[in-house]
Amino acid sequence: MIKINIDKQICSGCRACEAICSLCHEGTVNPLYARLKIVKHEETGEDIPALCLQCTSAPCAEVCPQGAIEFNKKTGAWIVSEEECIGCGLCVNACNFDMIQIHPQKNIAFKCDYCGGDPQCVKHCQLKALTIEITK
Amino acid sequence: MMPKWNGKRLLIDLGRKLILKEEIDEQERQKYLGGRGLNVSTLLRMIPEGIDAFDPQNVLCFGAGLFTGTTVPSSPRFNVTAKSPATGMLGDANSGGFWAPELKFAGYDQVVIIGKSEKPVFIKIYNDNVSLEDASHLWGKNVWETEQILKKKLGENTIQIASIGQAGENRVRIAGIINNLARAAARTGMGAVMGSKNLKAIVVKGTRGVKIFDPKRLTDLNKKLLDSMYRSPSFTVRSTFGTSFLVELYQGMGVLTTHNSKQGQFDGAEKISGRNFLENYVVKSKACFNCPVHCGHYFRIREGKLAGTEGEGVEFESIAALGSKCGNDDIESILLANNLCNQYGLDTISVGGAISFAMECYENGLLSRNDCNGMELKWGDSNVIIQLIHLIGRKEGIGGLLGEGVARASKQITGSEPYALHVKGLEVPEQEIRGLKAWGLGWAVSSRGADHCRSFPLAETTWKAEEAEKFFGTPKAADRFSYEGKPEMVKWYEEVCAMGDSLELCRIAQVGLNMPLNLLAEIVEAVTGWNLTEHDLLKTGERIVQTERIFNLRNGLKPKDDCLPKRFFKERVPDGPCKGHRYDLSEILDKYYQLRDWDKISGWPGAKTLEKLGIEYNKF
Repeated sequence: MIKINIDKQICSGCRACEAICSLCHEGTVNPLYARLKIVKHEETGEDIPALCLQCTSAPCAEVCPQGAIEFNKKTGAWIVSEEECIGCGLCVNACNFDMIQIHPQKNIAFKCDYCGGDPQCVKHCQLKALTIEITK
Repeated sequence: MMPKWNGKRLLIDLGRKLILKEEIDEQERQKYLGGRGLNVSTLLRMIPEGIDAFDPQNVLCFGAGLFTGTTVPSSPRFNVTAKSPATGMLGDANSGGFWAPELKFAGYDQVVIIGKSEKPVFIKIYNDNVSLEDASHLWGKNVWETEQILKKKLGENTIQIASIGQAGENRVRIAGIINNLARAAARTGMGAVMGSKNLKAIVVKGTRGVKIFDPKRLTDLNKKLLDSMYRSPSFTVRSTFGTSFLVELYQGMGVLTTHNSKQGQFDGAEKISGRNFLENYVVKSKACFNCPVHCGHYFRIREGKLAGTEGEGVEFESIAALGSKCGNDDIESILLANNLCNQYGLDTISVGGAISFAMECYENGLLSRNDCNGMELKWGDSNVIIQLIHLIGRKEGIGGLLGEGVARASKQITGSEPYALHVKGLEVPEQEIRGLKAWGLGWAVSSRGADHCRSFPLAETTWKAEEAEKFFGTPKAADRFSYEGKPEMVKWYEEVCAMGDSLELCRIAQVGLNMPLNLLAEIVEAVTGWNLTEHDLLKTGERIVQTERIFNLRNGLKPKDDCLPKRFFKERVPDGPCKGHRYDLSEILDKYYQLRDWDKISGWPGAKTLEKLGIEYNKF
């Protein structure tokens, strides 16, 4: 299992992570489809990576009426089953961090899935503001 | 694989309040790629001959690059092109940040603006919804205030804004356009053109995304490109110091412009060095969209009389222009001055050129305290520099004259011409060209006037003699004091840079870190599906250079304008490593003209060259 750690003090705000995330998952570059976001405050120079925290008791999973969100023990990420999800949006309301959304085209929920255990965002972060920690 | 990637052109007539969308002709795009190239190709068709730059018929064009908004590293840029109010010829400025990727996400490659709005407006581009919005509440506000108000008013922190400050509104001829608070499309007065159209800002939000022809292949090629960038010898220094390392480097070489280019070494160099900046003022690294070089910085002054001053920046050119060029060794004042230029929307290079011009005039008794709002324009007086920036931005007092640029200002001050350092009306940048011969030739023939980016001949100082001989025909091409091989070098770099500006790759990443041309050609194919070779790409660069040349010729360019300020011909560098050197353009200008196939009398490219490049001469 892995966990992605964030160091917001060194993030340069380049958003390469958003670009590669979108390309890998959707075949197009569109921040709307990035599973993570860099929150930028240009007046103070702050750049804050916002990622799904893969909560221990994930509210999105708890609230899902279809049980479509399940924890993957191998990767450490909560995964949305595309077949089971009905796009009701209860998970979107349940998440306090806006980390799960309804896909505008597919009409089902989408969120960070840790790229099956090899997160591309981490690979493309030159400053290592995003790093992987191997957990149990 | 996705269908061929395409985007649209937005055509906006501010006077008639018309907004049109059109497909960009694929053949034109293959010939000019995007960004700078597509801009000049568009403008050559649309701008009538002989108009004044402030005429509503001037066309202001914002162009994102072929690579912009894809995952190609370091390609976030855009060009702003129009007839320049400073030079009367090609006005063209380039900026980074995050504005252009957002334009691509919204589905557009280019925004072409004609006419003049009756009242101040801003253009709002939200995907398919494009509108003209009232900007009367924004007129008179500086750029930082404008961005803050727009984000609040539109309830969106993620919009991208390109705007002008008071300088552009006041039609100050050295005004630029700012995005992301600190990124500047600064040179040639594009901010003044925008102001003359009563256009305050262009706000963009895009969620349509950029299609890519072969995403898997692109990802593989990008890996190779990133590897080559990380392995480049200057990656470490550029990613740590940004361009600020050039202060120390140039000082050591004796090519740091000092006192309006009288000298090449500055006593206060250490105080304004990259090292001082990094150690005492930098908070963190900052980057443009998808760039792993992150050469930018966020700085903060923690103590002293300017405590609390903070912002993004600062580039070498600005440090030198507001520092050594003006005899100023107070780095904190430079940081403040940089912020002010970003707030007013001013070109730091032209501001430094104008202020140092004024200082030299004052030194020689051509300007009095009375002329200068009671100020003594002494070299190195940082308070004076700050005050002058305010006056230039607001077009008040002596600032009104200096903001016209040194070429025009010197016409109003008898005897000041020797101190007005410009080419074609554009103030010179911060190289001491008597010790950098290729850069000097680049200044003289650049399509936008004195400029250090059209040709970026790093080979002159970073290549070994053997490499230089293989490529440019003589080992002396790697000798910065020699003229040999420099026409060939400038020609080659101009084409590499023109092509780069049309893909909208950052100069620092593309040229500074030696991106392999053959890899770029493969990447073009992965993005678009077009089969272009390395040779095709270079030819595109040549085509762009010649198209810009035609634009200038139609707007009055003569061969005598391909020149340098007399200071560099007449005066020898007084001391330092470049002591005794002058500049002699005669040797190499003829050779360069030959390489470009430019007629010595008219300056025009020959018909065979235009045919070879597929430039339809009769059309123009």
